[in-house]
Amino acid sequence: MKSETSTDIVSPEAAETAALRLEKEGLAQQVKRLIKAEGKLYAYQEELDAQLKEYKDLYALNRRFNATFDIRKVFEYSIAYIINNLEYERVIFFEQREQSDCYAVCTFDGYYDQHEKGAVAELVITQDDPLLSALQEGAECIVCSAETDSKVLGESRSRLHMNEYLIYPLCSHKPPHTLLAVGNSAANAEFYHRIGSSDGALLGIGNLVGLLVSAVENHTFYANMKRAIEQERCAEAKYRSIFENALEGIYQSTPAGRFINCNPATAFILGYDSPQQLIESVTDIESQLYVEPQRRRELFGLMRNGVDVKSFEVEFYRKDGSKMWALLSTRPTFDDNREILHVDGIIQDIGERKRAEKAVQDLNEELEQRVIARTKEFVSANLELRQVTGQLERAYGELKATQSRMLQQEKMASIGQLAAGVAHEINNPMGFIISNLNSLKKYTDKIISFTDFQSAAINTLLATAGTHQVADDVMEHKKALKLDYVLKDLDSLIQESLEGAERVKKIVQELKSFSRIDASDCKLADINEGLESTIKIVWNELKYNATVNKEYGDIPQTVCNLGQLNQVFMNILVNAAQSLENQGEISIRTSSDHDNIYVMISDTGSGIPADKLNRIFEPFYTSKEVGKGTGLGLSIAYDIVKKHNGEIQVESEVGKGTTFTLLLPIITG
Amino acid sequence: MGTAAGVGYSIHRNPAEAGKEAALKALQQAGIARPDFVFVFATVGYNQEILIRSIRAATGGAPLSGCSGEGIITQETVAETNFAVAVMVISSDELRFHNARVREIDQQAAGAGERLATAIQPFLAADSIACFMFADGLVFDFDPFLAMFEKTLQRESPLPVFGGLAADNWASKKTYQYHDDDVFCEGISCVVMSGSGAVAWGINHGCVPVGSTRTITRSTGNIIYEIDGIPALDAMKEYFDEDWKSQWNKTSLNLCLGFKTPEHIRQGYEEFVIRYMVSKNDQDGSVTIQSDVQDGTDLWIVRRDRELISGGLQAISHQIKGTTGTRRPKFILQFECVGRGKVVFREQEKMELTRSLQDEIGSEIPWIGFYSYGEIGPIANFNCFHNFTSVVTAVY
Repeated sequence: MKSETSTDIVSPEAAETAALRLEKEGLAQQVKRLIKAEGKLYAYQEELDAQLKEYKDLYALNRRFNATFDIRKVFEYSIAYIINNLEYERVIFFEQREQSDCYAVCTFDGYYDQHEKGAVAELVITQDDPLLSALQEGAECIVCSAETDSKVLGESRSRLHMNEYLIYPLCSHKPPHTLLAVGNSAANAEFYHRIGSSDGALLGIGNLVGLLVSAVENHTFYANMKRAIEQERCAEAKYRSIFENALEGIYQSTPAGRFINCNPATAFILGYDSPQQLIESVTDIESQLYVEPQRRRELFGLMRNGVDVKSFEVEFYRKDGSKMWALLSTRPTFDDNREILHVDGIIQDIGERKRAEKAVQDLNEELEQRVIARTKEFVSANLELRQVTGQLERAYGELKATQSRMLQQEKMASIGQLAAGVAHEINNPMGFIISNLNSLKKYTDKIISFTDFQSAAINTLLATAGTHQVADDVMEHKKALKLDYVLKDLDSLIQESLEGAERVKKIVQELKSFSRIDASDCKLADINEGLESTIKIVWNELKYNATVNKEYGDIPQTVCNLGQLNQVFMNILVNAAQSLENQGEISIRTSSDHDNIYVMISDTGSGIPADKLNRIFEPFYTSKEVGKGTGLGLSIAYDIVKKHNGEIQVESEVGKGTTFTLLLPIITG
Repeated sequence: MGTAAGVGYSIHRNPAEAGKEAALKALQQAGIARPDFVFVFATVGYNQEILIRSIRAATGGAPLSGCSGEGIITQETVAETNFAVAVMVISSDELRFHNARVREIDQQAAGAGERLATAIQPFLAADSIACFMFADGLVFDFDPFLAMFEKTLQRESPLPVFGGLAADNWASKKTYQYHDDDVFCEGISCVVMSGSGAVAWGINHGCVPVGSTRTITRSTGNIIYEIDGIPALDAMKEYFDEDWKSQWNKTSLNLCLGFKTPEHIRQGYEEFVIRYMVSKNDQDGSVTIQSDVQDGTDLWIVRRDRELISGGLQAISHQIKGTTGTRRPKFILQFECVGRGKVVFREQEKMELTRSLQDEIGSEIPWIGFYSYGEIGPIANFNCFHNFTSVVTAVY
């Protein structure tokens, strides 16, 4: 107890000190709690301040949104808010391109490197891009944080130039028309609002997106409404303009006979100053306007049957009492009881038309008379025209033939000049070749005669004695030289050379005659006689395979070079005979008219192909085998006929035959 | 002409646009086309090189000094954000500005002091007024730096040094210092101001101790290992929030260390000088501050006090006006601790406090400042380092 008593005895100072210590300790603990509480308070206050500021800013932003109808301005305000208030580094707004499933960058900010800026401006994302698949599946947004290891989201980091990003659709329907992407680059992310998927991290941007969705949808609604109003205004203006400015009267009237509405044209047609005046003045259409009131009842009868009446002609009284014709088109509007509520109508003034119809009728009658008269004139003129046309056609044919002849003559003249030159050059050497061959033949005859005599003498010597050896040697030598054969062949060689030379000579003569104009032998002659004498000359060529039919007409004599004409006849007849492969006929006919003598020589031979027919009068053109013809016969004939101012024509058909027709002008001296 | 100064700012996100905008606004306010000198304070969200390049282009390549901060302060705005830049342009025929820099100051505080003193020596003259310093706030150790700096300068009375430590918005990774075209880290950007003029300044912290005296029982340089014989962190953790280990920045802003103001400067200052705990070491339980300490030194855990801060700003105003009298300052530089900004005050509150200070001193005076990781300002002729402090320097 004592000790207890002693321990219980505490000095007042010590007790006070202990109490103070206890109080101090208590206060110290309170201070610690206060400091901790103060720290928490600061933190809460900071958080609340930040939230308050954010909502204030958001409110201000919303007011700005509401103050504009320009969606671009909304995006612009949003970008400033996202960068300055929400503190994301980068922002992109995408808009769906018209008529496309692609999103293109509409506006962006936070890219300060030119290369990145250029790349982002060109950025396009398709609706089916894997990046957006989460949105298609209903996600509120796409979150790619720095830690996200999704391949799809990771691949878009380089496209967006953001290492961490959020993508929000900015409307409630799918696919969204607008997308918002916000985020940060890897280099600068630590200084910006980091991307995370927690509610706290998304709160600010989520609030903004809520406003933006409303703004975008309001804008879309407003734009659509504005467009609709504008369309309505345009349509109203268009129809009002049509109504006011139409030349036709447009009106609405009641079955009772009053106008409800009408345009100025209606008033004008009916002679009133204005639609208002018409509406007020006409209280009973049937009695005031219709000249025949029955017509209105007929009109309403049609309409009550459900017919839209078109082109209903009526006669109206105008305001001044005058009558006018009008055409009505009407459409009734019915009530539930099938009673006509009102009538929409179009009225046309056809007075002018009526007058015009009369005028047209009068004009038609006059016109018919004129047409009859003019038709007669035309028939007559047409006949004349046909005649003139015939003449012209003939003249044209003659002109064409003349041109052809002139061309042929020109060609023949050129060839003639050439032939004359060639003939002259060949003729001289041929003269001495033939002369020499004749002399050679005489000499050869003499040598043969001598060798014959010599052979006889040697035989005689052989028959006698003493000279056998020499005679044998001579004979032997003669035999070795085949002199008997040589002498025999020498004669035939010379004969063949002479014949060849004669042929050359003949060609040259023909060439000369082809080129020579020789009028000195022209005299009055009988062509039939010429033909007859020629047939006799070539009879040997004809008689074996041709039956010659002669049909000489009674033709007058004419001045001509009969010798040359005979050569023409001969050339044609020989050709005709040669064209007959086996047996055939050659017909010769002559005739004349006032101006000309006609000679026709026909054969039933092989005929001349069409492609060769136009060449047969060309010099040296021949279809015969080599050596059988010179190719000059028909060209000489052509030339001779032309020199007689005549014509030579040929018609031929392969397998049927050929007809040459000669036209020779009658010259009586 | 005298001195023409202007301040412009920008919060544009594009560094090129922001720098240009701030510089042009400053030039416009100063009414000049080409300045003699440019101060720049900006936050770290920008690409710093592009930002400074655009300011240099807009200011015609005038000499430039500055650093990154946690926010900027001008007459128009107080912006604690990752994207803000403030530019002050000065054209003067009565003041001269020469700038210098040193790099690689980490673990070489004394050497840095010697090198910087050597670098500015040629610019010092009889009319040199003050020196402005902007050092890397993550690696700067003030005491050995200042000791060698002043020793190397060998001046009879120390050149007043004002400034702040560059900040990086709590990232604690990299701060930036600016010297003309050069943007660098772990260095000091320095400006010597000379000529016909003077400086008036006010310094106030507004912190209050909580709990009783504690004693450093083990330390090395600026690292405190033990307090009252237990690891420093253990000695303080009962005041910390539950998440203090992961949220050290927040924790160290709410609580810091107070040391008795040394006798030689106590006359012109408050009872405590404040030190911010830049970093901690969970393994050995130590904390690092920005000046050296010695074992046996008493310390208090202190916390910010809004009323004291608010009242302290009025004291600053009085200090400055007491010096300048009726003379209007040509321009003002403010170095404000990051712990006195938005972490303490609500936005509106902070704006109003700053506005009241500016209105007190002069709402038309070109005013530039930044939120720093540490403040420098002389007390009673001794250059001192501060935390949780506002240092306001008026050049008049």
